[in-house]
Amino acid sequence: MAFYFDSSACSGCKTCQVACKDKNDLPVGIRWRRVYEISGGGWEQEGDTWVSKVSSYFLSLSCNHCANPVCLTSCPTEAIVKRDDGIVVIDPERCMGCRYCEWVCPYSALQFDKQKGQMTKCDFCFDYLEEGKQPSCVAACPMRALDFGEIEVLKGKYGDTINIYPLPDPKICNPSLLITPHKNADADSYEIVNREEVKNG
Amino acid sequence: MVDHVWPLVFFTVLAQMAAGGYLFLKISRFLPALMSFPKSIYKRTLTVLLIIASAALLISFTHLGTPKNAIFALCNFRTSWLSREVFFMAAFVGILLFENVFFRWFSKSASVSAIISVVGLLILTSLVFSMAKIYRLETVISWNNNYSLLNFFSTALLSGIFLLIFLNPLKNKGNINSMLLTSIAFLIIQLVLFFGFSPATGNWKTIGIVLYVVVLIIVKLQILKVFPQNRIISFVIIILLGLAIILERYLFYISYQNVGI
Repeated sequence: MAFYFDSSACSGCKTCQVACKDKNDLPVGIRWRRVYEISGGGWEQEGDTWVSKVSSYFLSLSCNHCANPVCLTSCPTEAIVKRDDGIVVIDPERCMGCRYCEWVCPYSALQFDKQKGQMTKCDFCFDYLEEGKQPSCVAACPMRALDFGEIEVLKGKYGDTINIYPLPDPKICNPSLLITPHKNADADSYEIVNREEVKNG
Repeated sequence: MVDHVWPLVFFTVLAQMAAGGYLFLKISRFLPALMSFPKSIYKRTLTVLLIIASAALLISFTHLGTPKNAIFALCNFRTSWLSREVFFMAAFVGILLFENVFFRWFSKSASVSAIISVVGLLILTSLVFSMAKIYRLETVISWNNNYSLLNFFSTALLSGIFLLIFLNPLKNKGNINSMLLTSIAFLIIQLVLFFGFSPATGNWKTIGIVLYVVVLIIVKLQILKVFPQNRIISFVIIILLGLAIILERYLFYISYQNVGI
């Protein structure tokens, strides 16, 4: 199973994030799906005048259910499991809440629930999938910027782009994620401008 | 991220201190030309090492959100350095317990003692190595280098030798002087690693460096007999050195910066 995200269509409304929190009843501070705002640009000289060329784009990101999940190989208790359908889940009967996977994951997908004393993450709404429904984030997106399915099917529909700023090198854990980039996604001098909001908001 | 690192700071430092102490204790046993202790000090130090290692093990539980599931911590020995660390830590406490309780009273055989010691040294080397490998992560820019490996072994040697100096009787002056000279070498190595390779930055790093330099000066003055070799000075050195090591380790943990988002 893989996610597809169309950054060129996303308006940054965060409905996916809210739908995920609602469906999974996530406490304050935990976001299995997060929407990052990346912006940049500045003043550029055109002839005798200076014009403002700024823009931003969004990145909606959850666990990418990687083909080579580094969280799984580093988990000491074998609490992180990759199911036959490729979905990576945490077994609460085994997780001891050491938070090592939180350090290891380059996508900040694994988050510590202080009340439970355990790590939590996106489970691809596998219960919904078993009922033939879409994951809550995909179903909620008003811009139809999210999709899901088998990675090869998604590649056929949307291409195989994944390596865009600010995502890490996909070779590290081979994420099951495809992206249609925003037209400015490769621009220099862009940065995440809502990092604090995503982390602590 | 920061709120759960203090137990890890104390766990790693105490475990490394016990590992370093064990190494020097065994050197004193099998290479007495390098350093030696009276028999009573040897036994007392073994007990202190067991207490320190047990405390480290107990402290490690306090950073867990669900300690009852720690029984599964050895399950992923095949791929997880954290599993390996847990295994070697438990084995290290086990060997110390064995030497303290069973071996002391039930066996006096030199060959058995040598075998147990070699096993213990292999375990502590594996323990410190696996501790360091936990932080050698491709996904963490600030830790993906050899600093943790070098620093963890250096901390084991430095804290271990100072622990033995602290526990050594003051009448054994010649022995202490040779140990102080060795400790200066370890202090310089620790200082160079911290100054040159630590991912930490800022004023706290400067304070840590100053603490190491102050310890270095006091030890040097002790060797030159400017300061008397007494328990108070030893206590001051242990406190200052402990603060420097703990600060360095804390700064290491909070320097975490991943490659991703």
